[in-house]
Amino acid sequence: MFDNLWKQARQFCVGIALGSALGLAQQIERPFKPLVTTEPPTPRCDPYSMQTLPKLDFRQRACYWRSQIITGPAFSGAAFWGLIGEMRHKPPEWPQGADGFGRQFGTRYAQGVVKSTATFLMAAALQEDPRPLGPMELHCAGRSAKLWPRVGQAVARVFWTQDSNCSGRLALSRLSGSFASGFVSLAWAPPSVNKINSALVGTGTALGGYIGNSLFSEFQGDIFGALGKIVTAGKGRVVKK
Amino acid sequence: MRWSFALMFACVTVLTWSCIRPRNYHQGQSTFLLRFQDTGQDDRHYFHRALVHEAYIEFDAQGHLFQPKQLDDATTLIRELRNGSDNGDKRLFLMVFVHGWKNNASEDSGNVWGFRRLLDQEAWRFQRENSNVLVMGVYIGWPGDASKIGRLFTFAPVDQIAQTIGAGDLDGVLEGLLKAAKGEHFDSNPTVVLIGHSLGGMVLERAMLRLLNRTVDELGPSAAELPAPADLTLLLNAAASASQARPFLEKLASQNIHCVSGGHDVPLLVSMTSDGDVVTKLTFPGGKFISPDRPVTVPIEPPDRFGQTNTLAYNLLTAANMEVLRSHDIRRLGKGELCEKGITIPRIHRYDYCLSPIENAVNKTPYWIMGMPQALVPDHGTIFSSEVIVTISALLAERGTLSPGQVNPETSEAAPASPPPQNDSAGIKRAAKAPPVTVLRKGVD
Repeated sequence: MFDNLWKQARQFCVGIALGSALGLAQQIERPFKPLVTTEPPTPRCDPYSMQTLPKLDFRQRACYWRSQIITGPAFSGAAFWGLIGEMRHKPPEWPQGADGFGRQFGTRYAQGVVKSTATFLMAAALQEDPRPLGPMELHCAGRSAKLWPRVGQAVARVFWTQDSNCSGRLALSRLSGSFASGFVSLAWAPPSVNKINSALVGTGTALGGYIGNSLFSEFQGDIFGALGKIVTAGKGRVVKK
Repeated sequence: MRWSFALMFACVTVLTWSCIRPRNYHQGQSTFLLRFQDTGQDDRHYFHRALVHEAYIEFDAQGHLFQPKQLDDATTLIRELRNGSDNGDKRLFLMVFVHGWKNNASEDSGNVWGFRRLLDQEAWRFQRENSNVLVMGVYIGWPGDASKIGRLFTFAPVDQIAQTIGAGDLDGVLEGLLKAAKGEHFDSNPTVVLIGHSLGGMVLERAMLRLLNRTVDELGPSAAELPAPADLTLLLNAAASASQARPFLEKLASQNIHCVSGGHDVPLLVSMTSDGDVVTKLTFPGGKFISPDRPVTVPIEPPDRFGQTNTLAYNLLTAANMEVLRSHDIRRLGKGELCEKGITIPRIHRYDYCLSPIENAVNKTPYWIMGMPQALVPDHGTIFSSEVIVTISALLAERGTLSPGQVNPETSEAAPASPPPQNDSAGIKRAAKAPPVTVLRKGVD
């Protein structure tokens, strides 16, 4: 009986080996054919597509949101403003030292997360572009070369958004994000700053962040160009005496 | 104690998760035929209706091919397209791209999508002109992305890998691709453009210099002139020390080598860096300066032909950021002004630009080095644009080589199909049916 089993097992193994060899040989000898795809793959969350796609789908919006909250600038910004709050000792109820800095940092970071989350949800619901300088903004708004019109356009972009047919409307997502960021701190703020006034100041600060970001996006090329010219000028040039 | 252990565990987990190990992303199939569909007016015609062939060739961190089969498949496809195109009166336009830092061959890489869209635009432009051209792109992938977070701190290790890739099998791979496209003696019709960006520029330059050095060395009593391997080798915002280019520049200058097509000088290599590229202007020299691997500064006695008395500038700066190495410049033309001694790059944001030799430039070799206005490339990363296509077209048209038409980048996306003009108003010659072969030639001193 065992002999019979052993024989069957051997036959099975030989069969497997032969089949594999045949398959491998077919693979090696297969005629070359480029893969014909009726449609190319869809862009996902790669940096190029995120920057250039005229419209973002929900997944890409979620990627953008994630890139806003889990990122170096989000942590370093919270740490910087937390340090400023620590130095000003405001609110006075919070202790100085590591405990105080932890609260300051946590507050700023939590506010940032709430701001980005509210903006992301509202933008997805209302089909607004969450990017500071989206391709539609560039396409629809006439580009001015003068300083003040550009400043004006950059500020206006925070409050005004463009549809795919270039019809403008109020950018509710950024406004709601800013309000959410300002008012969420009331949930944990100590009595001295647990007021509507403080929440409104927080809202203004959040909006200021959006405006600063939009201004930087608008003038980034000019800043880089000026820096580049300063840095390159005369490099490697030897003046012959 | 328990907390510190938990924190350490969390850090190790995050670091392990964030690491991107070198991977072969196209193991099974590495050649594709992509049928792009027009994405429509709502999506601003992001993709156009066009057919594009795509191939991937991937390297490991040691500079070797992950799978030699990828090269075989790519060259087979190139030959098929070339032979098929000869029969069907179609011509092959091959573009090879070497990506830079923070990229690899995965679908999540920005350069994969940027290159794909560039190919789609090229193919669409040829279609608009009713040209019978087959567009194929070869994406050279290498482990240029080391981490999902804190990428800024990965430059040093990725730079090391890039240097290894450039010194590895790549020159042989490029030679294989070029021979598949242009024949054993590089004298066949298909147009081949090689592009390297950022660290990919360094990788491509390093590999091409080995190939070109061999070609230049063959020039001599036995061969008065030899065909140039590629129609255009373009290094965009290359993050390569000028010390890499210097020996070749010296060689070209001392042997008085010229690259000639249709009776006039054309470039063998072009290195262009944007005026707004702060990465190669600031970050690169800063990083090189503090790098423990920085080569020792050696005095040059007597000063070399570029007037340098030591190697510091060569070690820290990229070639295009060393003013003394620049051979050409690109300037905006005034209304009605003509670019008499150079190449016109037409209609970039409503203006024409003139790429012309710098008067009294020390570098008069066929290795053209120049700065580039931000209108063409605004910063370090924005290279997959209509403006770059127009620039490539202008450089190719100069040598009578197949080039996609001079379409206005501002209206290209929505422009209706129309037959192209036979002559450009700015004076650029249209693509000739049978372009003259670009040759390397030793001049007479």
